[in-house]
Amino acid sequence: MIKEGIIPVLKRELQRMTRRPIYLMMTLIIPAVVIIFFATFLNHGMPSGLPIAVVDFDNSSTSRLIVRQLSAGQTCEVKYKLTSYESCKTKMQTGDIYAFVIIPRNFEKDLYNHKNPTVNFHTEYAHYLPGSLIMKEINTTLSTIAAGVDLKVRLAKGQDYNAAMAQVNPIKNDTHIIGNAQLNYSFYLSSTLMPGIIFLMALICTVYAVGIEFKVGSSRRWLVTGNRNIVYSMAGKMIPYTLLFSMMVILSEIVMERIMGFPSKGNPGLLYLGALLTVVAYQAMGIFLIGILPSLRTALSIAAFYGVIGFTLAGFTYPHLAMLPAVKPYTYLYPIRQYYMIYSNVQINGLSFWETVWPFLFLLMFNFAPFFVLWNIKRTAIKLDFERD
Amino acid sequence: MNINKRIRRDLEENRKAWVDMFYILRKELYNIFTDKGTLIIFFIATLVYPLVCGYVYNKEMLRESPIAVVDNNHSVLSRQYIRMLNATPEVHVAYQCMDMTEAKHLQKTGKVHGIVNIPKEFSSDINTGRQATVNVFCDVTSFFWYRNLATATSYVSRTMGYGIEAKNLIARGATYTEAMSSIRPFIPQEQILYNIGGYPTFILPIVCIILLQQTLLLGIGILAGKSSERSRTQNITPNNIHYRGLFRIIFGRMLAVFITYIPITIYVLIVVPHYFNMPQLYSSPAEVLLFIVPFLLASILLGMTCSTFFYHRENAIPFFIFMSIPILLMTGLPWPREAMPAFWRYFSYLLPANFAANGFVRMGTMGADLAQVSKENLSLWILVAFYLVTTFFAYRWRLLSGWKRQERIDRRSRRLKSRKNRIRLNRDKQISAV
Repeated sequence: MIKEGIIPVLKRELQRMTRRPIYLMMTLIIPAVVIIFFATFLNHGMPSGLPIAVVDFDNSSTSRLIVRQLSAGQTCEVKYKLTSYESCKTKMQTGDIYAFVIIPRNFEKDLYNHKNPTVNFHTEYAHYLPGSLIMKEINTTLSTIAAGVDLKVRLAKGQDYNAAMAQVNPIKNDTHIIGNAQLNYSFYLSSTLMPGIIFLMALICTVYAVGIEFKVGSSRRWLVTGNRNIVYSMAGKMIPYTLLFSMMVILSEIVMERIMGFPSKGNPGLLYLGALLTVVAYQAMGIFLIGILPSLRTALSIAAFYGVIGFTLAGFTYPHLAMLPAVKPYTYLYPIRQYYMIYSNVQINGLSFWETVWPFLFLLMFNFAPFFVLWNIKRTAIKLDFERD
Repeated sequence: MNINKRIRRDLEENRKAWVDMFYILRKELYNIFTDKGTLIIFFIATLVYPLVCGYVYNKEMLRESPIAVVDNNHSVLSRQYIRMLNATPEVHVAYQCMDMTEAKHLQKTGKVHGIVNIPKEFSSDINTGRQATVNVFCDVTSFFWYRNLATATSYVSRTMGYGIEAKNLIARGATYTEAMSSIRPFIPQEQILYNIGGYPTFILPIVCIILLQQTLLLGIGILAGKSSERSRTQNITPNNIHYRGLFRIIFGRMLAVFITYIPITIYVLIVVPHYFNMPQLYSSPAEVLLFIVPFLLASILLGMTCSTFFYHRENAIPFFIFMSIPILLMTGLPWPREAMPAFWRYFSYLLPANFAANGFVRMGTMGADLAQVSKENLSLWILVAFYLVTTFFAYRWRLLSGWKRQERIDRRSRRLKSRKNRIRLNRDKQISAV
């Protein structure tokens, strides 16, 4: 059965793949470009040297100390020393700085006279990541300087250093970031976006491989090669792509683990199984789409649309918890959501197979989708009666 | 007389050029509005995608992320700490666990996104004047969980610390003002100038700009592939007397897509942000549209340059669709430009969406006026000029190769015809001989 149905179709598909360069592009070149892009683009891990400005109205030794300390941190760098609030705002609006700090007049005098002067720092969240990082950095720097002043006064009064330190800062936070110790931001982006784009290509490639048979009218020969059985014909057609795309996703995972140094706590075999099942699930969705829309171009447009929305809905750029309740059910339409679950369960939390079995079962559920449309694919393959434009 | 004649001829040629251009414009508009694939890309995608994104990215910021607390201390102070933590907008104490194993299990199964562990000696440390420690375990599956927990715990520790310090100072005989100034010699005060809305208002404008560029590239690629499929010589222009000058073709096509995109741009960049209550700090929408004109032209010309490589209508889709996410990252908004590798930074200067997204975000979210985005505006016009040149050469190459193919076909058919004639002559001769 397999020898008569699947093997001949597989051979035919391999021949077709070598004949058209677009297959080479979709299966090998684009995934390779994506892997190289993510491996090189975010290689710095955490941004540093972000430009900020300072307005020093006081110009005393303490205010100069603040300016120096702001530059000394890792995240930001004082690029401009300006003279007015307005000029800072303009610099921010022209995109030259991400934040600015204003040290008020008589700052040092007020400080020593117990008048609690205020140091305003202005940030913006139109650049979300730099904004958050700078906010955190400036806040820490200024608090440290304030604590330092407090400490100096206490030491001058004759307190013991340790006792003074404990008095200045009675509760200390010991923050553990398990698995991502340097808080590598690249990890949040690459870990699912990189495989995600390869999954998207698997979807597009499936729609293309089936649709092109309809478009050029070779679908009858395809069916005959598969012993007139649509299941065998489809299986033979899909196997090369399943293998190629799974290989590319697994390659991307190896690159993340070995070259980019992302955490890998669990069993990598489990993650590779998840990658394979997600590729198969995306192929199933591709077959479903071409089954209901046999016109290649329309199906490709819809598939692209469906696939791209997946990045928004998968929950790794924006958590599910914050989505509208009405939107949440639609996230289950995307295999990538389950892949994200598997990735975080296996690689970050180190769960075993039985503890994270649900995402795997969900991925298998997608494989029912093609069976609703296979009869339509067979009918179209024989009659070729879809609407051409 | 001679000069007059030449002027008249030039004028005539000029008039013909305009007639041809408007003919091409009309023809291309007809092509756009009768092609199903292009209509889906140009109209349905741009109509639906911003709405989907807007609804998915809820208007609210991400607040009250669930955490677990392990209280080993069970004192008034530790309970006060937990209460204060629960009162912050960032986190919500969903579970109070007996030990770390239980809490870790909750974190692994995704019930909580962070653990706070208060050690046994918490209250005794504080009461005896030692530094107390609170252990915070962050969930790294999403940046938001880390950010919320870190913000909340550092805020609570600091605030409670101030209270303790003040109490100690006053107990030792300091006055209230002295204690206050000793705790916080100066007050760092954060002011968020722009985009207090958070993540959704940050990402949506960028997505809108990228959507415009990507749909333009896709749609133009599909149209070029279609005309190349229609033509017997795989040419990108139909075999029509009006399609005879390179600039007429380029400008006619460019204007057709441009006209189609004016209402789409108004919808995506003005109506959608307004509908989702995004900040629109520019003085008038006309300013934004004025800024966006070179972006549209540059994207269209980039699309026309790329479209010369597509011989089939569906080839554009796999080629462009995977780029959307890398382009989003390369705009320098999600990931600061200062931290980009030099190669990708220079590469991003070739993308119209890069400058447009920066300019548009600064106009809408940060209230910049046209003068403050002049750098981006100038860059976009330079890109328009650059892509006009590339389009010129790309179209020239395709048209020439198409015409060459046409010539070859003509020659072959002429040869065939002559051979047929010869055969006929021979046959006639044979017949006459017989």
